[in-house]
Amino acid sequence: MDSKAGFQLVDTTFRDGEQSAGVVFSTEEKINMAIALDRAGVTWIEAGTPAMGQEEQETLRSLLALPLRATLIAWNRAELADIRASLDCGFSCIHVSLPVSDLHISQKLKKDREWVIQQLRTALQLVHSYGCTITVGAEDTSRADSDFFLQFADVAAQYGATRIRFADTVGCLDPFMTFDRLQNIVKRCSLPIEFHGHNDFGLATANTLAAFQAGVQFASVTLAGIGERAGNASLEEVVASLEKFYGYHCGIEASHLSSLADLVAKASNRPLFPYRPVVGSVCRMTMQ
Amino acid sequence: MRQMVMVSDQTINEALRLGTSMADIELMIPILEKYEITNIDVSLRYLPSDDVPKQILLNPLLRCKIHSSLGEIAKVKQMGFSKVIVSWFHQQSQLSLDQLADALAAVQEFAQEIYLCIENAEDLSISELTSYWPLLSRYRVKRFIYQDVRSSLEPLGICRKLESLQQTVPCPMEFHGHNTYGLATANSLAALRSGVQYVAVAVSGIGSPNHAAMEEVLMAVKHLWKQDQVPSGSSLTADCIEILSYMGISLPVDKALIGRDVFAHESGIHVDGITKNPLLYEVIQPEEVGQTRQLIIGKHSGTASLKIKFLQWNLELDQTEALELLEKVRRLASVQKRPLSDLQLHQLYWQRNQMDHSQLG
Repeated sequence: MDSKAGFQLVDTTFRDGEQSAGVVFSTEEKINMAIALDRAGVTWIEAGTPAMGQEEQETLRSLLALPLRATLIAWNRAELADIRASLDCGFSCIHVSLPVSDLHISQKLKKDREWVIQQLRTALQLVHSYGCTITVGAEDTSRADSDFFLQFADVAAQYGATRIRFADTVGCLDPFMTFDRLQNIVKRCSLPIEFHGHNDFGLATANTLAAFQAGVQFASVTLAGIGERAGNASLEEVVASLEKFYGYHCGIEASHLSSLADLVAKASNRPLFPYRPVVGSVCRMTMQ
Repeated sequence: MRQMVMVSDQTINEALRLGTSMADIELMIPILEKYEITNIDVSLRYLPSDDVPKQILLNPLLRCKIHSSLGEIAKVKQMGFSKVIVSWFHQQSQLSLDQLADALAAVQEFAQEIYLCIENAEDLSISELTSYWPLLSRYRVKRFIYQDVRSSLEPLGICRKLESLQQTVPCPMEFHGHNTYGLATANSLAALRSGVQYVAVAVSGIGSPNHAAMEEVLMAVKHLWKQDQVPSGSSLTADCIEILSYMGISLPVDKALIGRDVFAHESGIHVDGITKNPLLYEVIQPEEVGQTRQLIIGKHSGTASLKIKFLQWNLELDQTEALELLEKVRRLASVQKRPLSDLQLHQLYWQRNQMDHSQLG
């Protein structure tokens, strides 16, 4: 299908992955993983959050200095100071994130929908004025009103955003809910959608595939599914499944999957579970 | 929709494959029984030929899985099993089902319950599967087990296929999925959604090949589908860890629901949110699965996290203090490549305070 022809993965191992409790990657590990991801054919790498401070910014500058084909993305809250930190690092692809569920808006931000839209405008105006590529994240979309998400996407589109992230922030979707919800939204959304799944019930890969079938054009993944709480959709599972079930090659070489997972296992000091899909030792054995 | 879910355990079978002692297996079974499992499947080939204790063999939940050979049938009969799964691999070249029919007839002579499992059911068309239906009626097969031995299914597809099969199958169906591609939990949920009531699971998805994780299937049905007849998960984490410990298996810290760190929060945004309302970043409360929430101070912490952490020790940080401390925390976490211990936090705090004191003096 045409809508699936451009399906691409956005690796967020360095951002959402490293945010998992207790994990710290060194600059050298990030450089090695970035090179390996690039070689494997990953085209989008969410590299980190410059607002975290000087040390993080130095790491990010060394990543930006690498001769990669992949585009590096800086993650930002919709705060001008955060965005300026990203611009100062030299990023030309900027991700701006705001929550869209009423739960997050009222209880975390203590604001309202109008404020969120205004904040998005202010933030994107700044990014736009620097001529950067813009991607926008809608936190907690799975628990948000779809119409508000679409309105939020419209505003992002006005400032030239290239895609909008539908985040299942707490991992509360199953593949059927994901498919139904996205099939409906994809047709009405002014921007291409990136599905961002979490694995709280072990469904992140399945939800990502359901999103693919519903016609979304991007999905966030991390190496070995490392990420907040039970993690994100894993790059290896999504890449292997896309090939196995739909004959779709997303540009990432399956032969690199095991070594990529080994790299992150070592850097995060989290050995791979032998029964882990695709890359676990028992699984590799039974796949042969 | 009230979705019934009955699970067939595959954990014990993996314990047998790994050579876990019978004494330990006896300890594992009562823990599994808390989760209202309907069956415990064991493969004849993994059972030791002699020293299986009577109390295990006589457990009414036990089903023995065999192939269609007369030798295996004789063995399973001699061991005294009354529930038998005849497992069959469909060959495209097979001319008739006579061998399978003979096996089912032989098992029928002694077994109280017969189950037929087609291991590679996913490879078969609806009409090929339908050709097995007469055997199900003739040998009074209790359930037809649809196995996906090569993990060749994805949830949206399997749901449609199982819905269609249930129109004609003469007995209840059971779904036995595998997890090579990470889809087994989703596939099991798809089977349940299609109306199948029985699914094969193993604690944390173990098995060779691996399975749907018991804790994920049960808790997804309980919390995502809001089906409250599913057993309580209030001791789920400890139970799963204990079961795995008998096999010498340790869980990954991020294993969904039962991993050590799945309710641990470090990043500033998340900790700030969790403090305002845990629902912001937790889909269920940790207590629902017998866990507790943890606040980790590390590279991704924010000032709010530090203030909350120190408040637990009755120390109130102002914003300047928090910012100063945060910088040191981030640096130390980066250097040591792990979060800070409580002791380290105390040290940083008191170092700073002494410095202030000396400056004042």
